[in-house]
Amino acid sequence: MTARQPLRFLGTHAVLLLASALILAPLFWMLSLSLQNASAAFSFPPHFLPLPPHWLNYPAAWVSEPFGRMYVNSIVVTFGIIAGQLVTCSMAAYALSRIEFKGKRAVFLVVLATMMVPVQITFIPAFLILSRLGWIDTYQALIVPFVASGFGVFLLRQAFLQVPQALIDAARIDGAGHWTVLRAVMVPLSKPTLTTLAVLSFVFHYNDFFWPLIVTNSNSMRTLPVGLTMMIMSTGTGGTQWNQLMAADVFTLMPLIILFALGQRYLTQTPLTTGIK
Amino acid sequence: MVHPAPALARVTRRSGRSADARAGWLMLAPTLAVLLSFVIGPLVLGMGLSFTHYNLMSGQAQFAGVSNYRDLFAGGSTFWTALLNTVLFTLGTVVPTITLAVFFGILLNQQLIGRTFYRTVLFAPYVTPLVGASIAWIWLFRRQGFVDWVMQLFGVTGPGWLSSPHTALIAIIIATLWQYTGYFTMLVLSGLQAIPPDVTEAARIDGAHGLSLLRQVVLPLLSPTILFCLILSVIQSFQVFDQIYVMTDGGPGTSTLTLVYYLYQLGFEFFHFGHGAAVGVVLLAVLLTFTALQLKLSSRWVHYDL
Repeated sequence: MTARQPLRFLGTHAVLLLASALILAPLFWMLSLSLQNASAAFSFPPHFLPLPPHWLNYPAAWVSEPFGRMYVNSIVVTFGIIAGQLVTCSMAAYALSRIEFKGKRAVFLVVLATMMVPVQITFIPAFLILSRLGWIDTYQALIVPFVASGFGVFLLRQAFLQVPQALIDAARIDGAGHWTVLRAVMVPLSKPTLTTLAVLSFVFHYNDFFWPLIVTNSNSMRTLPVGLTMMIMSTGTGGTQWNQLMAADVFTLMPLIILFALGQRYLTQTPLTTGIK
Repeated sequence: MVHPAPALARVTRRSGRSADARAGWLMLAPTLAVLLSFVIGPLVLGMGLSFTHYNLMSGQAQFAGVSNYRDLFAGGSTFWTALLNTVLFTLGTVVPTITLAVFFGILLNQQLIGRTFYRTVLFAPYVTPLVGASIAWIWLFRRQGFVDWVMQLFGVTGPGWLSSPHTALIAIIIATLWQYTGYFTMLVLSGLQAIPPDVTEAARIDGAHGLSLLRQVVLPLLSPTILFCLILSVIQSFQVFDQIYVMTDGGPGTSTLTLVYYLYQLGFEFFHFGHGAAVGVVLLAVLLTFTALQLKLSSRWVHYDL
C-alpha cells in the first residue's frame, strides 16, 4: 500500500492536470483569439499566443453592436430579478416554514411542482400573454416572469427551518408580528442562504438566452447573450471576425469572473447539495 | 416545551388563527401570483393551445381537436427526428457526465495538493454563459480549428465536425460535457463528504480497500446523490437549446434538431403556436415518464440506509 502511494499520487495529479488543461482550453482560446489580428484567427496551425496583442479588438467589438446598452440591460434585468426573488422568496418561505394555516401543505406542493416544469414549455403561452399585455420588448417582460422562484422558496425554507424556535418565540413575546420576525430575525440569520440564492440567480439569469431572445426585438432591449448571437449573424459565419467576437465574449464573461472570484463558496456549497438524501 | 410561557400564550391567543392565516396568505401572495401567471397558467394554457389552430393576425384560437398531435406523430415527420436526436443527445450527455462526475468527485475527495485549484477549474465552465462558450466551440470545431489541429497531431484528419451530419451532435455533446461536468462533480463531492468517515474506516479495518471499498461501501452510500444527479441531468439534457441555436441551428439538415429547438422553430419562426404547444406537452409527458421510471427503477440500486 505505502509503496504504491507515490505512484498513485502522480497518477491522480496527471489525470487532474490533463482534465484542467482540457477545461481551460476553450477559455484560453477565447482570451488568446480576442487579442489576435483578424487573419491570425484563421491560420493553421493555430497561433497560440497573441503576440503582439491587438488591444483594439476590444473597442472595435464594443461598438460593432450596441453593447453598452446591452450591458446595462443585462445588469438591470439580472439585479431586478434577484431583488424580486429575495423579497418574494423570503416572504413565501417564512409563511411555509413558520406560520400554521389551512392549505399550507397544498401550496408547498404546488410551489415544489413548479420546479419540475421544463420552463420552455411555458414560453409559447407566456409569450402570447405578454403580447396581449403589450409587454413585448420591455423590461417588464424580461424581469416580472422570474421575480418568483420555486427553487428559491425551497432553498430559503430549508434555511428558515434551521432558525431556533426559541428566538422566534422571544421576539413574539416582545410583541413582534410575523412581518417583524421575518425582517428582524429570519433574514439576518439566513444571510448566507440569501447570498447563495442571489449568486445562483445571477449566474442563471445573466446567462439566460431563450426567453430574452423571444421577448425582445429591438437592439435597445437586448441582453448580452442575445447580442452575442446578433454579432455572429451580422458578421456572417464565413467572414466571421473571430477576434472581435471573442473580445465580446470576454467582456460578457467579465461580470461572471468577478462574481466567481467573490462568491465561489456560495456557488459550490449550497444547502441543496448538502441536504440530498 | 411543556408549558408555554404565560406571556407567549397570551400573544398566540391574541393574534389568533385567522390573523396567522391572513399573514400567511399575504406573504405567499406575490410568489403565487407570479407562479400562477407565468408558470402554472401558461402550462394549462399551453395544453389548451395544443388542441387549437392559433391565428396570429386575429389573435383567435380555433379548436382543432387532436390534429396538431396527428401532424406531429405522422410517420416520417420532423417530430420523430427531433425526439430521436433528443434521446441520443440525452444518452450521450448523461452517461459520460455522471461517470466523469463520480470519477472526479472521488479523486477530489482525498487530501491533495492543489485541490482548491482543481475544484475552481472544474467548476468554471458552469458560470460561463452557454452562448459565449458555444461561440468558442464553433471556432474550436471549425475546419482547421484547434480540434482538427489536435487530431492531426495524432495523424487523424478532422471530419469537419459541425458541417457533417454524423458528427455535429457529437460536437454539441462534447461542448455540453465541458459545460456541466464540473457542476455535477460538485454535487457528487458534497454527497461524498456527507459519508461519515467512521463508516469507510470500519470497512477498511474489515479488510476492504481500493476498488472493493469503492464498490461495496462508497458507491452504495453515494447512490441517492447519483440518482439526484441522473434525474437533474436528464431533465437538463431534454431541454438543450442554446448550444444548438448558436452552433448548428439544428443542422446540418435536421441532424441536431432537438425537441426544444423544434418547439422554438414552430413557435417563433413559423408561428405555428398550436404545433409548438403540442411539442411542449409531449416533452412534458416524456420527461414525467422518464423521471417516474428512474424513481421506480431506483429502488433496485439506491440505498438510503447507512
